[in-house]
Amino acid sequence: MGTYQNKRAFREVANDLPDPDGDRRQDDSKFNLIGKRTPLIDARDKVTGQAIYTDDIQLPGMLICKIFRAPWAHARIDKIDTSKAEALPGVHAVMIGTDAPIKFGVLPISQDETALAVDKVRHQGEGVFAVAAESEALALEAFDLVDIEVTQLKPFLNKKDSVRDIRDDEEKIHEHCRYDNNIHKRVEQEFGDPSGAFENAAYTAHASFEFQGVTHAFTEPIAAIAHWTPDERLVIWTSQQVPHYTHLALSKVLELPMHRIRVIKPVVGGGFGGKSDPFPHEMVVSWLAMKTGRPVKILFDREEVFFSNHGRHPTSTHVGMAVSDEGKITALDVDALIDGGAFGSFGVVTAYYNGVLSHGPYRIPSFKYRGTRVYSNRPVSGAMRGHGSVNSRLCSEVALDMICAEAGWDPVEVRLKNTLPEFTTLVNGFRITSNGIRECIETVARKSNWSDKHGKLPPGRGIGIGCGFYISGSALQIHKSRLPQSTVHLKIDMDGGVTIHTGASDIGQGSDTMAAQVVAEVLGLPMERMRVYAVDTDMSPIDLGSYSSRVTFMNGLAAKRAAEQIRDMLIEAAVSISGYAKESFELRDSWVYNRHWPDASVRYMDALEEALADRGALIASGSYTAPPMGLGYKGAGAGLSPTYSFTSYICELEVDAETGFITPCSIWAAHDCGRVLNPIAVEGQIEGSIHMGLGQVLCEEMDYLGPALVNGNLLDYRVPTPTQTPHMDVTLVESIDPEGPFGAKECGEGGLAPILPAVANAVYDAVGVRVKRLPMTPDVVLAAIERKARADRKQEAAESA
Amino acid sequence: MELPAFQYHRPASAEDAVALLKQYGDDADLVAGGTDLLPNYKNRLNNKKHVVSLAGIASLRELSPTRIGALTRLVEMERSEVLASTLPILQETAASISSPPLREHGTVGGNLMLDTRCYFFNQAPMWRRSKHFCLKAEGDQCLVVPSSNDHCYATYSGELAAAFLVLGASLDLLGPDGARSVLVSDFFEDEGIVRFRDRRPGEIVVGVTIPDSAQQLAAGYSKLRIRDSIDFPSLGVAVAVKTDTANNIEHLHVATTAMTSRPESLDSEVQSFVGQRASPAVAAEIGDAVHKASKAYRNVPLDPRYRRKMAGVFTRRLLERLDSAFGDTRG
Repeated sequence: MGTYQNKRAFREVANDLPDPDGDRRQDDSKFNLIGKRTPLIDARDKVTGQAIYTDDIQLPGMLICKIFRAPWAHARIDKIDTSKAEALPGVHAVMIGTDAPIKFGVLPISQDETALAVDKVRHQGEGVFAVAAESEALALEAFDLVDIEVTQLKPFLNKKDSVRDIRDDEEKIHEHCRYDNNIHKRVEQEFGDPSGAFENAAYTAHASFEFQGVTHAFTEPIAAIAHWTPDERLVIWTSQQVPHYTHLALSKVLELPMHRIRVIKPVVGGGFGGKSDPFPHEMVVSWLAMKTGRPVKILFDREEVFFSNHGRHPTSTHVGMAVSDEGKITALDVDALIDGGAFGSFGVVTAYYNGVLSHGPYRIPSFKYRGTRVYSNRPVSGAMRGHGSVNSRLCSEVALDMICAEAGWDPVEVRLKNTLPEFTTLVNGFRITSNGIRECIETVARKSNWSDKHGKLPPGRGIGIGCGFYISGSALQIHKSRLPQSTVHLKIDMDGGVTIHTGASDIGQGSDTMAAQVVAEVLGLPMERMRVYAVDTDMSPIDLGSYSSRVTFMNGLAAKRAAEQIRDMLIEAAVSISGYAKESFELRDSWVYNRHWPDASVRYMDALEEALADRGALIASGSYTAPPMGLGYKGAGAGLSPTYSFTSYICELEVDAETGFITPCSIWAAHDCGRVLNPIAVEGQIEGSIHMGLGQVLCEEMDYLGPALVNGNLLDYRVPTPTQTPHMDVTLVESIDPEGPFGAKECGEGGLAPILPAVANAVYDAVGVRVKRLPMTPDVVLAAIERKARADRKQEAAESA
Repeated sequence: MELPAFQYHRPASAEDAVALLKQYGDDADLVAGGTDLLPNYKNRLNNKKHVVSLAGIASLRELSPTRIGALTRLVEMERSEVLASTLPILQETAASISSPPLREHGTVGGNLMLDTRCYFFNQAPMWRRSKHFCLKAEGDQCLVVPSSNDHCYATYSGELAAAFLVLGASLDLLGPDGARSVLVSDFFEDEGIVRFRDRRPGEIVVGVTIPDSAQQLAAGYSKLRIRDSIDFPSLGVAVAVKTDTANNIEHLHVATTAMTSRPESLDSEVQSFVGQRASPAVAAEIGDAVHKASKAYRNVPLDPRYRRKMAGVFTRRLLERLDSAFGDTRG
């Protein structure tokens, strides 16, 4: 039957068919790889130092780019003269803002960034000019040869100043702000009857919280290399979560058609949202490469990474909650003032998410939200793991805890009374499908021995709970388009390996492994036959990128659908070899296996040989587009997702009442991510989320002295170390989503937010204080403890008098 | 960010190092482990044209309870069995410095001679430019105390110095005019640029000498920092105490670091307690005395008021830990 002379190419050693009742999952779902602890396919490359990150790439004749960053927070550029710098031997080009003045931004409705400052500087650290030179030392030398004159303007450094009308001696940060102030986006939403609910509530709680900005602190600094090829195409290697948006923005700014731009994502050393915008430096190195005709590389210093920021917004949030005498939440009121920094970034979405992602995981019949995102003269805030949900989540979970404390209720029981059911709709139009929140809460309560501990631990030791939910991919696209949200291409040739072309960005979260696992599962093949090519816009189908926790759900479904087409081709081949009906075949263990007549089974390589005959490589394309959903009001699309993850955490900790130090002891975590595709990867995401959330609640903050970031380095910006990482007990709750790939949902972001209130509520249980300023550094905690002691003494004195 | 260019010298003896320092004068820096100097060089902080490495001088690696060579690595001190049984405070202090990878490189001499640190100083060039630079590097005004144009308030963060202070140790110096010895308590100056009293050109620290009597003291070190690793101290407290059989205090020494521009001995503030009977109440009084006597500059993490208060708390807790006579009898 074979047309090749060397048939051994097709006839690899295959084991005898395994016992069909052998290594199978207990829930009767017959999976080979799904649910198995599968090491990430790039793990060996990374731990042996062989993975190629952007900075590892060297091209012939490559120049080094350095960007001169403004020491001013808000200033009008009166003059830039680069002629002396350009004359320095070894300097090939100097770029200034007016060389590429077209504005861009990740959101089409918020295009307010330029490659370099044009006319004015809006934050300390913004790029003013850029040098491409033969060495870093030369580029830095050229900095001193550029003559700049500026007029400094009054900077806006306080959120409240950005809300009010500007004064005579002030200038708006952006001309395009609609009114005479620095407000970027205002959102107001109201559902049900919040004022009635507050009036009639048995219990209400109100509290205000201050959140400092935090940043991603990914390991790999930002880097990019641009190359203007001899055939006049722009190739850029860039450490990106969303190469597609970079592709779009480059086309706009450089006025090049998209087909003349190729964006390649090498291995990325972490992103967490901080590499998901199209970036000024990507425009800069591209322009310089086009100008000089030589490859141009930029690698940020860590300080520059901090200036690039796009981290979580500093926010002042006021929350109100109303609860009936049966312990049912009747209303939630959230008011958030959000500091966006100098540019828009994802900020319009942030302004919505601070409200809309408070709608679960409880039934909230009446809801009111006011969100205001303002511009300030600080590095831009943007999307960061748990985007928009994290700060508001702390507020509402603490408010619920306050009511429980006042009413004498158990916080676990009250939460269980309020959880959303599965398959329901919320007042704002969200569609909830699979939902494991009850099991999450019950699991952590049981495993932590909650009922023996809450309110019963010795002074200084406490236990607290926090819950949350998160989108599993945004149902609406940022750029209106009729394209699918994700597409995966597969190719199998006579070597029997499976080539997966995907546009999803593996940023360390394991999306390449996920795609490989999904395809391998459908085709009944081992992982070692999978090879993933991502992301190269010349070869990869478009995927909207790694943000909004969308990849497993959307890219996973696209991969699965592509694989199912190949599966059908292989089954057809088996039918033609064996003559048995196609319904009797399934793919597993490298066989096209016949369920009813095992002797009629066909080895994978034999079926492939038959399928390839007279056709050549098998190719398939699968895609995913979210179904229509949601209501029609303005902003209804924000937070809409085909499904949501659910999470519950309990934290037990100690507070040293004399020093204010918080020491988390144990964390019990339960996360509903639908079907667990790869337990190693999911547990890693949950543990990483907890660790990152602990950073925000305990010690991380962007610390400013006026306009200047004081701690733009990884010594003074304090990411928790392993010595502060408590024992973590992670349970994965499998609600099996009806639409997700094999029932899977997200696990990368939803696991962050609930740790903040779990810690805050445990601190209250330990020492009886509500700390309302994050991070809860020991001085802040001690001040709160001392305030309470003074108040207690005063009250005692009053009572005895 | 690449290191700036400099000429690297690696002498084989302490005498050769002294000769090189004498030859290059203000154009030379000393480096041992490099964990302090090299990050500062990357930030272009007072770079010199010559860097003289002590790494090749084997004679500076001595380690005994009475003599510790300047080139002894912190990790060697941390793991020393002989120190564990004689001067556990040194082991404890070394183990609290920075992080395990840096302790593999950092040295005793390097930690003692650590440059002073400040929010306004340990920054990249652009950042410092935005503040018009500070007195310690390129500027003409201290940014911590803006009224000061002749005094730098950068904070000294070396940790071993506090431990050596309470042990009554002295530094062994070698210079062009030969060797001399200076008590640690006489060596440092409370000024962030000057840093040392009577520092003589070309002189290097070759080691630390600790009196035999120090081994009779119960001594310990406690460090305030937000994270349990990596961070420089926001406060370090060293306490050494000895009580007699009747629980009367015979010797009491307290020192702090990371509060001012030098390690501070608080011995004179606590001497009045010598002769008193040790008790929980006296421990609290000693803590209060340290709290009241401490001062702290506002240029490292955590505010001065909090750090001063913690100086008192840490002192009391150290006393409770070191000698049961100070401990709470209830528990």
